Amino acid sequence: MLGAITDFTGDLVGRPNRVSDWLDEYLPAVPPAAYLLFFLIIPILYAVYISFFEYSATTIISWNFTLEHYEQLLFDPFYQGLLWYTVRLSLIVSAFCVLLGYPLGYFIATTTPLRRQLALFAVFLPLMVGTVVRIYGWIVLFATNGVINTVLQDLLGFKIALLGNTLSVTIGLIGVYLPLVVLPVYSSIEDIPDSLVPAARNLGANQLQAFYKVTFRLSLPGLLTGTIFVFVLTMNSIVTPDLLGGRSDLTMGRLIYDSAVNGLNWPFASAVGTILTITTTAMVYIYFSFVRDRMGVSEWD
Amino acid sequence: MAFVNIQNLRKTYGDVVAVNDVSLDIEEGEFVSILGPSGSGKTTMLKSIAGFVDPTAGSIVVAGNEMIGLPPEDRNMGLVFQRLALFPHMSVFDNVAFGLRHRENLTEAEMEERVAEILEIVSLPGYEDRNIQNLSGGEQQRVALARVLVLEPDLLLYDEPLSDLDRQLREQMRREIKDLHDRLEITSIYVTHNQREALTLSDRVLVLHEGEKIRYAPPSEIYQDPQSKFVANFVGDSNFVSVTKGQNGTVTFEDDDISLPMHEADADAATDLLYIRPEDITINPPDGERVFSGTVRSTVHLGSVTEYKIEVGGNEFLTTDLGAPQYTEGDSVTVRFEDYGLVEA
Ligand SMILES: Nc1ncnc2c1ncn2[C@@H]1O[C@H](COP(=O)(O)OP(=O)(O)OP(=O)(O)O)[C@@H](O)[C@H]1O
Ligand SMILES: [Mg+2]
Repeated sequence: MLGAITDFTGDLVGRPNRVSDWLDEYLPAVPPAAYLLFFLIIPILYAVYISFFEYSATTIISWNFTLEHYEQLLFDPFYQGLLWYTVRLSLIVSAFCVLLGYPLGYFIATTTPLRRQLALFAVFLPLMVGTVVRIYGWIVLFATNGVINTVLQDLLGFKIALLGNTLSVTIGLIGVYLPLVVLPVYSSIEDIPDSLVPAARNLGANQLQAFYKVTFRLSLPGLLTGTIFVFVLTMNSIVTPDLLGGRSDLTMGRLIYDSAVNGLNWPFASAVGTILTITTTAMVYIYFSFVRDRMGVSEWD
Repeated sequence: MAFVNIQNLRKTYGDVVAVNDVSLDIEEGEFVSILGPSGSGKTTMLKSIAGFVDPTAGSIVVAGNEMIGLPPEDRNMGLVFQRLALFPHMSVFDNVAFGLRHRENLTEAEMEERVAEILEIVSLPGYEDRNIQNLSGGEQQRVALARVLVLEPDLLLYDEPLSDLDRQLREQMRREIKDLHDRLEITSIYVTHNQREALTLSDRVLVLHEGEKIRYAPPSEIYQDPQSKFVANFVGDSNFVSVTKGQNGTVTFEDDDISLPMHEADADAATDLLYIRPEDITINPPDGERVFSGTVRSTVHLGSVTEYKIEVGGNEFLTTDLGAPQYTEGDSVTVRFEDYGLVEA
């Protein structure tokens, strides 16, 4: 519509109509830009801004400039450990999601249609059930007085701690986020034309070489997308570590939640958020560059 | 033994017999087409030769070596796919060098030389750094050829490589494939369901039907003496008439009193089906023998030729004539059957 009108006025005036050309080109970008501005950029900038002010028990933000939150977060061993715990947890969860999710995605993409449907259903189903509901299900099963331990106690006379430790948090997060790797891997392998691997074999590559140079290489964008999702979400996870972890399984996300909601210390929570965001972005960038340089992935279609 | 020797090749999928005991000899440097309708087992044969299908029975010997049991990467064959199967994430150079990297131990400089050489041959000089996705259909086709030619394979296999191209490009690539073969003389097997490609490209044509070998002969022989109704119909068009054989070396159309002298070659044929090629029917010939009267039933102008349906006696005949339409529906004409023969029903 707009294009037609522009052309028309352009003809009428006999020279390019600058304003409507400009509108034509940039107007479609306005809604996404507005979305980013209001839901991402302004909140983040505001959070960064208030993280430089003192907390006040009465007014929450005192508006006296300070770097104390950052000093505390970066130099206090407790907070250092907490950042390290979050990063390590995210790396481990991402790694396991890749190790389990890639073969699963590959299987789904290459198996018979019936098995593919069943497997896809099995992967999608958990996504339909909310995380909290699922985790409560696990708690019923694995708690100290849960189903499994009751059976163990009755049969063998002892119980084991299946919940409230780092292992249960790790396994829980892997369970929750695995589909986020499986699905993009599946879809990127599915998109590879059937004849590429035979072509590679015909040109002298054995099965493994053909897989690596063709299938794996062409599914890297999907794998990369999936891992970044899992990593970012684990870095920011609150609910799963809270429900499945013990007192020491404190993530940066839980710290933000505790400071902001329970402590009402918005400036401190904002500083935690700022550090978390910077760390996450930096690590995603490093991972992305590494894969790009190592694998020669230069284009993202 | 012939350069390629295929013996009793058979492949079944459950109850489906995709290839039914086909035997085939191909001499070194020969260009052979496998021609057949959809589902006749062409691809299955080609894949068995390339090593992507495990035949149920039979043997495939190339250059003296049994191929059955060898993985595809250990058969020195170049396969050109219908959808080309170029690697989208690699440059033209990396696509063409892919095989060299796996098959041969070359330095980077030697490899560059070989790639440049072959790109020259397929008329893509200097295309090394181009991105596959930005090439035209014809250029992609040439890269697909270069990628297998650079390995100097024993055997070149094509699976309908031109069927996705528009008509003009298809004609052009067909000529280029022919030129390449004339220059490089690599033994080739070309799968197609396009009789024109098969007839113009090949030294010999294998006609497949429902997994069975129907004919294996040079194109001219197949065209001039189709022997079976299937071949007469599939390789070029044909009109068919049921006939009865007379005593005095004639055949008489069933339901009609039209008689034609029988060719000597057909004297012993145990069949009563006559085929007449559309181009072997002349409309309004100067007076002479074998002239019959008929009525034009339809006229279709196809550009350089016009196609008529003409009713003669109780039968309708398809015929073609050069140039623009000269007769219209309802016109009374005479026709002469110039050439014809008997085929198995
Ligand atoms: N993997 C398979 N499983 C079951 N049946 C198959 C398989 N591959 C081929 N067939 C069957 O074998 C027969 C021959 O198939 P093939 O692909 O060789 O035919 P084609 O001559 O190449 O046909 P087209 O011209 O359509 O490519 C067909 O009936 C097909 O359905
Ligand atoms: Mg086929």
